[in-house]
Amino acid sequence: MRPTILLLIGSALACQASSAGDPIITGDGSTTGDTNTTEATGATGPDDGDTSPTGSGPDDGGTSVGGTDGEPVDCEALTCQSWCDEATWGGPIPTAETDVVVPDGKVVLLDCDAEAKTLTIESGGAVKASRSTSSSLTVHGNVIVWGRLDLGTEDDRLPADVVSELVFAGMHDDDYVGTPSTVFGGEEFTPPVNTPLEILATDVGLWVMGRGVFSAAGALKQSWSKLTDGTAPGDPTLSVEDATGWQPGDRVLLTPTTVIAEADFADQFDEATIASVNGTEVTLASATAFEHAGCADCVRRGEAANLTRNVVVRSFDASAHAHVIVGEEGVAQLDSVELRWLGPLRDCTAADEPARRSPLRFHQQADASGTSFVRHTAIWASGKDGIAIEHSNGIEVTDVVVYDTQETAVARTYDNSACGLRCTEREKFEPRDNDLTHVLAARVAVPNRVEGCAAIGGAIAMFAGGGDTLDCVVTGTAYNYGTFGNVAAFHWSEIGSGMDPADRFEGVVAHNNAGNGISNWQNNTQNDTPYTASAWSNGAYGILHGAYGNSISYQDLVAIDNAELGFGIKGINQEDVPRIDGATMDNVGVVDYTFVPESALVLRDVTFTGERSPAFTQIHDECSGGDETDPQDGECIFAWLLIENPVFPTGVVPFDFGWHQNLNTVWEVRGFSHPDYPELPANFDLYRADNMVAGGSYHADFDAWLVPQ
Amino acid sequence: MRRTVWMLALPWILGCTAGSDDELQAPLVLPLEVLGPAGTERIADLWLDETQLAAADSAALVLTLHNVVAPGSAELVVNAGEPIDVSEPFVHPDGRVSTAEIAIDPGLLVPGANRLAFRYPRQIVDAGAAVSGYRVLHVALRIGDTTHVLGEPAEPPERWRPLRDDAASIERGRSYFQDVARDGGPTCGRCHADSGADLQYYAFSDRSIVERAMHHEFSRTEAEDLASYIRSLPVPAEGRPYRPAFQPGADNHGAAGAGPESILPDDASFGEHLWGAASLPADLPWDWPETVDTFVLPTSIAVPTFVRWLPRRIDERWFTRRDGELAVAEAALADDPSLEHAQAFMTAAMAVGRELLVEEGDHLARIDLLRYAAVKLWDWSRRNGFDAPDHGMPDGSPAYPYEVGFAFFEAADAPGGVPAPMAQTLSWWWAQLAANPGRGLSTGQRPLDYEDVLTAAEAGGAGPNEIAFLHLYGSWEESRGPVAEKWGTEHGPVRLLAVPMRRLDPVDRATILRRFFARQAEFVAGGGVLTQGHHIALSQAWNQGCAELSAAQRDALRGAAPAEIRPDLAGCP
Repeated sequence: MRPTILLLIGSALACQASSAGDPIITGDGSTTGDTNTTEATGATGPDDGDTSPTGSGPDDGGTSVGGTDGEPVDCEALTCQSWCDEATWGGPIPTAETDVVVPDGKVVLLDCDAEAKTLTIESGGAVKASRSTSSSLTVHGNVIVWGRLDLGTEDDRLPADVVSELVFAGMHDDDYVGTPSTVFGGEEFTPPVNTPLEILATDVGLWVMGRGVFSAAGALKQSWSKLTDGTAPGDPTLSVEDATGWQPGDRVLLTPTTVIAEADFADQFDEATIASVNGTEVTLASATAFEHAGCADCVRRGEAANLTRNVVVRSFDASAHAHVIVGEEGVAQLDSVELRWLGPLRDCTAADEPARRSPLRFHQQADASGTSFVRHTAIWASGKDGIAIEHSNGIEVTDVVVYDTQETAVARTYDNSACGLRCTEREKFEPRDNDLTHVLAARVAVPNRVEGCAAIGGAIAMFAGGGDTLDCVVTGTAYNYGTFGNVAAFHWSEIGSGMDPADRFEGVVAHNNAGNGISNWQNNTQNDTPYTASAWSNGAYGILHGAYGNSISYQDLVAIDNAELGFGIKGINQEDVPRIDGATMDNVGVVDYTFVPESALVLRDVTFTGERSPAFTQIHDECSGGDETDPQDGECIFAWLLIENPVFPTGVVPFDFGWHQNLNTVWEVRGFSHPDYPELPANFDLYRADNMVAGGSYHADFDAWLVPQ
Repeated sequence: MRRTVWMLALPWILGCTAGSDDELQAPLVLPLEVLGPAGTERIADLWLDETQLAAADSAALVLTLHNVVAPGSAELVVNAGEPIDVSEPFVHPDGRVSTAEIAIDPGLLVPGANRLAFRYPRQIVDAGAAVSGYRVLHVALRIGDTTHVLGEPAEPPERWRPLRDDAASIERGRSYFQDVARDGGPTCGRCHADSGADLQYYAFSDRSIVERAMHHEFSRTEAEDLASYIRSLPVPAEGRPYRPAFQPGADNHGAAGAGPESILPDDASFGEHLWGAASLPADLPWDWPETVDTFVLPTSIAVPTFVRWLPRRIDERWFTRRDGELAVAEAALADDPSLEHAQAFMTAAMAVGRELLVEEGDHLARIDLLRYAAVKLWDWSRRNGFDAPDHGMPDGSPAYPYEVGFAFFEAADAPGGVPAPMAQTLSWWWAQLAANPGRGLSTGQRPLDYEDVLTAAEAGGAGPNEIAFLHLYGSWEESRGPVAEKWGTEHGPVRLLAVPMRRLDPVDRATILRRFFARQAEFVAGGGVLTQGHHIALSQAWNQGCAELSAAQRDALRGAAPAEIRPDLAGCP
C-alpha cells in the first residue's frame, strides 16, 4: 500500500485527506509522487567541523514555533489543534499507515492515544503533549524534528498524573544501517573527519535535526540516590538521601554492595516495585534477592534508582531498540524522562553496529549542543550505549541513571577513524564542557565480539574527560566478563576523549565492577584540581594509574576491598605534584615503571585500613638486560617514592620492599609512626637489602635496608 | 624444460591439440609475484581440454594468496571477462597466506589457451608504507566437480644466481643497498639486516627486489645490481617471503618456519593434534609441558611472515633521541654481536619507543621502531646460529618478537590505533613461544608474560584448546627457575587461571584446577606460604567460572584443594 502523507495546513477545511492510492499532496497542492518522507531528506551534516545545518526539512522557511530560539509552545497564544480531532486533519485521524507532516506555523496537541507511520515536524511546526490529558503516540517509523517536539519543558512539566509516551514499533535491530565512519587513516598526521548524518528510513528513531528542539519533562523525580539504610532479603524497606517524586508503583533498581569474595559480586542487582514512600523511606512491594548496604555516612553503601517516569520514549518492547539522535544544531532538553528499550544492537559486532545509534546521541554538534541538557532521566534496558556525546560541547547531564546496557553508559568522545593515533587539531574535536553531575552507570556488559560471538574484552561505563565528572557512580561494569587490560569502569582513554586540565573529577565512586574501578591511561596530562574518588569492591585494581607519565594528582581517595592493589602505580610524575594527597586504602604499590623518574612520587597522608598486609609493595622482578647499579638505567628502572605521614593500624606490615630490579630504588619515609614499630624513627629511607648505605641496617619485616634520616 | 614440467603437472590436458606449445605464451609458474607499481599485471596462460569444458556448469579458481592487506588490491581477469576483485576473502591486516575459492563464469573459459591476468590495481599503503603487491602461491581450477591443480614450481632458490656476477656489479649493488638512498628515505640496509641477509635467507626473488628498489627510485640497472649483490651473499635461502618466520611445525628449521601448510585450520585441530581428543585429558601432571617442543608444535595461529617484520617507516629522529642512545647501541652491536650489546640495543629501542608514546602518542611509530630492532636482532640471532638448540636466542636474549607484539598489545589500549591489535599481538607472541618460550631461564627474565599472553589469546581469537595449552605451558614455565619464587604470591601462576576459567568447558576447567591444586598441595606441604594476594587472585579466578561447574564438580574440586585454599573457593556455594 502506498504510504499516505497527511498534511496539516492552515485551515483544516482546506486540507484534503489523501487516501491509499492517491497522489501525495504537498503543502501547495502539487503532486509529487510516491515519496516516503522518512527516507533520505537531503539533510547532511557538516564534514569539516562546521555545524551549520545544511538542510532543515521540507519547509525551511518557518520559524514561528520551533527552533532553538523559539519560545515554548503556548496553546493559549497559538491555535493548538487536537491530534484526535478529525478537523485537524480535514479527514480521518492518522493511522499506523500515515506519514504525518506538521508544517510551519502549525501546532498539534497530543491529547489522546495516537498512531502514525512516521512523523515529520517541519521547521516552525510543533507537536505538543497535553499537560492535562494522558497521551501516547505510537509510530512505525521515524520521528523527524526540524521544528519542535514538546513532551514537556522544565517550566511546563507534565504533572505526575498525566502520562505521555512516544513509542516506536515495528522495527528490528538487524535492519538498522547506522552511520559508520567513512574516512579511515592513521598513517599520516591529519585532523579527525566528521561523518555526515543522513536520516535513514531503516533506522527507526527520533531524529532532531536542523534547528529542531526536542523537549520532554515529566513530574520532577530524583533519578537515583545513595542508600542511607539498606535492604536485604526479608527486609523490604530502605532509605535514601533524596526520594523526590518517588511514588508507589515506581520501579526501582538497587545496586550491588557485596564484597568481592562473592562470585557474583558485580551482578547482585535487584529490581523492585515501590509499595509506599514516606519522605526518604521507601517500602518495596517485595523483598530483594540480595542485600544492598546503606548507611548515612560510610563507604560501602549502594544506590537506589527510580526507573519510572510519566514521560517516556521507548520501543514497543524489549525485542527491538529505536534510538534518539540530535544532529546539526538540534537541541534536546530532557528532564525527568524515561528512555527505555533504546539503542539498537546487532549482536556479535562488539557493539560497533549499527554505528552511531544509541538511546541518546549527540552527533558532532560542536558548540551547537550547548543548550542541551539531560536531567533526572532514566535510561535503561538498552541494546547498547546510554548517552553518547561525540564531538559536542556544553551538554549538561545531571541526576541521570543509565542501567543495563552494553559497552558504555556515558561516552564523551570524538571519532579518530580518519587519523588513528596521529590526530592533529585534537582540541577542535575533543568534547568539552559536557559536565556529568550525579550520574549513575549501572550494569554495563561487555558486548559479544565478532569472532566467536563471545563476550571478550572491556567495557567502559563512563569516559572521563570531556567535562566535569562530579558525584558520579559506576557499578556492575563488565559483570558478564571480568578484568580486561587497563580499561576500567571510569576510564581516561589514551585517545578519543578529552583531556582538559580544567575538567574536574570529584566525589566519584566505582564499586562492584568486575574489572578495574578507575584507570587513568593518559600521558602528558595534568589536572588543575585534584581528583577525589572512591573505589571499592572491584575485581581488579581500585585505581590503576598509568600510562607512562603524567602529572595527575589525587586527593581524599578511598580504595578498599579491591582484588588487586587499591592504588596501582605505573606512570611516573612529570611535574612536582603529589600523586596522592590524602587517602584511605587497603594497600598501594608500584606495578611498574617504564621511565626513569626525575623526582620522587609523593604519597602523602595515606591511612591504611588494616585489611591487607603489607601496606606498601612493589614488583620484585630480577634485573635482566640492564644495569641494576645504574640509577639512570632504562631497562631495570629504579623506583623512587616519598611516603609522607602514613598511618598504619596494628598488625599491618607497613612495607614490603623486598627485591627490586634496580639497586638504587629508594622509598623515603617521612613522618612514620606505627604501633607495632615504636622503636623506628619518624624519618628513614628504605633500600634494597644489599644496598647497605652507611648508617643503616637490615630490617627483616620490611626486607629492606633501613637508613634513619 | 619449463614447458615440460608444466605439462607433467597437468596430466589432464594431455589430450590437448597439437600446437599448444606455441599458444601458451606465459605458462603459470608459481609463486606468481604480482609485484610492482599500481597497475602491475602478471599473465598466465593455461590450456583447457574441450571435453573438460563440455561438462562445465560451474567454474571456480581456488587461489592461495599472500600479502593481501586491503580490499580492492587484487584483481583477476579471465580471458575477455571483466576484472574480478578477488581480494575480499584474502584480506588480513598481516597479509597472511589465505586460500579461498573465487567463482568464475564457466562461459569465459574456452577450449585451448586461456589467459589469466592477475592485477595489482591500486597502490596500497599499509601503516604509511607502500605495499608492493601480492603473491599467488597456489592455483586450482574447479570445473563442475573436478578440481585441477595448476602451475609449475619456479626454479628453486638454491639455483638462483646473480643477474650479473661480476665483482663490479656486486660491489655497486652493495653500495646501493647500504649507502645510497635515491628517494630521500633511509637506505635499504636501514630497514633490513645490515648486509641484506634477510632478503637472501627468505629468498626474495630478483623480481621482488628489483621492483622494490625501483619503487625507491633506483634505476632498473641499479636495481638489478642491487639484486645481484643480494644473490651473491653467502646465506642459504632457507625461508620464503610467504612462509611465516619461526612458524612452528614438524618442518620448522632455523628461522624459516614450517610453512603455511603447517598452520592448523582451527583450534579443534590443535586439540586433536595435542591430546588426540576434543578436550583435555582428565589428568595432566604439572610437568606435562616438559615434553612439548614449541618449535615444532603446530598451531592454528599464523605467526608473521618476514614481510611483516620489516618496519614501514624509519624516522631518523629515533637515532638522535635520548642523546643518540639507539645509534650508539646499534653501532656497538654491529661491531661486537655479544649478548650484552644485543640487550643494550633492545633496551635502547624500548626506551625510545616509550618516549615516542609519551611525547607523541604514536603507537604506529613505536611498532615500527621495534620492528626495526627485531630485524637487526633477527640478524644477530642468525649469526648466533638459528639451527642451534636455542634457535639463536640464548638465555637472556632480547625477546624481540615479544617486544613487537607488546607494542601491538599496548596499542590495543588506544581505540582506533591499529587493526586487530590483539590478533597481531598473539601472532608475534606465538613466534616468540616457538623460538624461545622461556626454558626456565637462568636469568629469571621472562621472555613472555603468560598473563598477557592469555589476555591476547582470548581477545585475539584463540580457541579453548590453545588457551588451555598456553595456560598449561605458561604455568609450568613460570614455576621454574627464579620466577618459581613467586609461586605463593599473586604474581605467580595463580594469575593464569582466570582466562581458562572463563573460556574452557567446565570439564576442562576442572582439569586445569585439579592440576593447579595438586601443585598447590605440594607447595604448602613443603612449607610454602601463600600471600593474601594469592588467596584473592585464586578466589577471583574461581569466581570467574564456578557458576558453570556442576555442584558435583565444585564439591570434588574443593575436596581436591589443600585446606589452605578451600576458603578461596567459597564462591558458588
